[in-house]
Amino acid sequence: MIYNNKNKEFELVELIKKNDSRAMKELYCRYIGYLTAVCSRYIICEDNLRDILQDSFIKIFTSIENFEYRGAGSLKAWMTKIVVNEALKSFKKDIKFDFVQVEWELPDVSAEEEEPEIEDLPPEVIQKLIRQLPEGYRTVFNLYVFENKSHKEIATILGIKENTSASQFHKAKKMLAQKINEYKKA
Amino acid sequence: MNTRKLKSMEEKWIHNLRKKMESHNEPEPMGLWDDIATELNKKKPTYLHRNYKKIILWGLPTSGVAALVILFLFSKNPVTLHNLEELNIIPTAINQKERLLTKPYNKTRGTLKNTLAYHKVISANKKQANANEKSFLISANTQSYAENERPKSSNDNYLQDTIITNQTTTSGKNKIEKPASIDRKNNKLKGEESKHKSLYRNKNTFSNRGELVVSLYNSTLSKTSEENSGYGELIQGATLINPIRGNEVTEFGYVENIIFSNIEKTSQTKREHKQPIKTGISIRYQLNEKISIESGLTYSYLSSTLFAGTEQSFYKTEQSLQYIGIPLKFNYDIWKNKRWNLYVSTGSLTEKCISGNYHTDYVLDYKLVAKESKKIKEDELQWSINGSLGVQANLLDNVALFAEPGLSYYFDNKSNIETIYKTKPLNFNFMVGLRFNLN
Repeated sequence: MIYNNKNKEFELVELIKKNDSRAMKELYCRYIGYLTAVCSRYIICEDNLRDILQDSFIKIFTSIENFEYRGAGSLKAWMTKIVVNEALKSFKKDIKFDFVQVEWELPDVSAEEEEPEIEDLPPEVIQKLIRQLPEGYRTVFNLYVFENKSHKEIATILGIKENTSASQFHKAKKMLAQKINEYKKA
Repeated sequence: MNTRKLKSMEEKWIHNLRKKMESHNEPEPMGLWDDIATELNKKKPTYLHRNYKKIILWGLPTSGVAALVILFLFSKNPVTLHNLEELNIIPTAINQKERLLTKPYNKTRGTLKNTLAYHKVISANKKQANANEKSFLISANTQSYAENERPKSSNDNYLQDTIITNQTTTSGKNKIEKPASIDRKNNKLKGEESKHKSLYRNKNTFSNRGELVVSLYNSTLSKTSEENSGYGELIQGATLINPIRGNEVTEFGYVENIIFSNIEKTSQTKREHKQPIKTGISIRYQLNEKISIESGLTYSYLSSTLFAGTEQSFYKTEQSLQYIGIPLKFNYDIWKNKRWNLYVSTGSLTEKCISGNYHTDYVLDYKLVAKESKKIKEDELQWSINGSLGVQANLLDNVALFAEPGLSYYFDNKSNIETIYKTKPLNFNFMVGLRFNLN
């Protein structure tokens, strides 16, 4: 039997379905780093972050019987979705969307700024800067960029208008670009 | 779903950003695994709790019934065989062979045989009795009658009367005494007899030929639950409705939205048909000693739930139906004595749905977006056949407790409503009730 990553993951899933606690720990160890990164982009408070990760893993382990392994990356994607959902659940109702100006503001085509150069920027820094974004911007930014949701989907998920999602994302990008440039100057 | 192509318009740096963060890890919160492990271990007993609850729910009524029965068995009830022996036997100068029969044997078929057999048992037990000690048996009937209705002092008189009657008409022979003679001798007795007719029934069976018995009962059937992937519904065409206009978030209908929201997940449909609650009243006519025919009214309440989607976006339906039915049953006594009846029963039931409710909640991304309620109806009749084994415990003269475990088969009535009868046509049911002899 060819021993590759894909098979190993499949076996891991099968073991967990049978309540193998060592397999559960292995899954945790494999993905906790990545999932913490995902979650901490949404959740700033350390205590909340911990709680949400805990709830997410409990959910992962208890609902894994419904999970069908569909090849490389499917497990990671499934787990990520659970974590994102748990994160959103915790604060979705109270997200403050910053509307400095009027709500449906068309994307700012005029004042074009240079795209920031991020090639040499370490991921930790980008993570930190993203976390500095205000809640509304940050959530929409994350969902769009990392979770690959369309504005329509984001609107449904967060219960906002599609236009709001688009404008929030636009503002997030501007602010993040600003922060990157500021960081580089420092 | 690869949405990168769709985002061809997006800025390059965003695209690079995404790639950069793809495998970025952050340090885990300290001690998180231990907390997770602890919580997982705690979760396991909850399943057991659910089962305990079920056991208690079932155990209480069953044990209640069992306790009742046991209590009855050990109680000092004048109807028991034992007690009959201990009845007040007044030694008289009557020939031991004589027996006094005070039951209206001519009214019931087969009673005579029973009664004599009964007496034989008693006399056999009295073998050690003194040869001089003559005894005669008074049936429980009359005894209780005598105890309850007449003052104690006149007890002896009554007995004397009957003894005298016996002596005058028979001697040295087993002679069946007709109740008529008692009546003639004692007018008062006759008058009271008609007033308390029930006391003169054949006590060896709960119901005699030509009698009516009313039953009140409750029946429980099993429940079903099943799970599959995708989106289902309990009524064909009920939930996947046309798009609803007017929702500013989207132009699609609620279900479409839900499906859309779940697009990258595995959605499930869970159906649960709960135990139907069936209760009824019936009236039974005893055709002959063993066979009786029964009909009445039943009321059933059926409840089902369906969940479709994922935890984030789903619709949940609750369906409740009420049926009225008319049963037709034949019962056949396999074995019976004064206390117990063992019988088989077979019959059919015709039910009609008189009311139905279909209520759906639509939840999109954890938010309840719509509720829908509608009345449903089923034009088709629901036919079923059943067969069961029955055990009846006669608690009092005219009250009995019974339990009938059995099977029932529900024919598909081809309606478009999904009920437990369609998913599980062959059902085990357990009926418990009380019977009252009207005569």
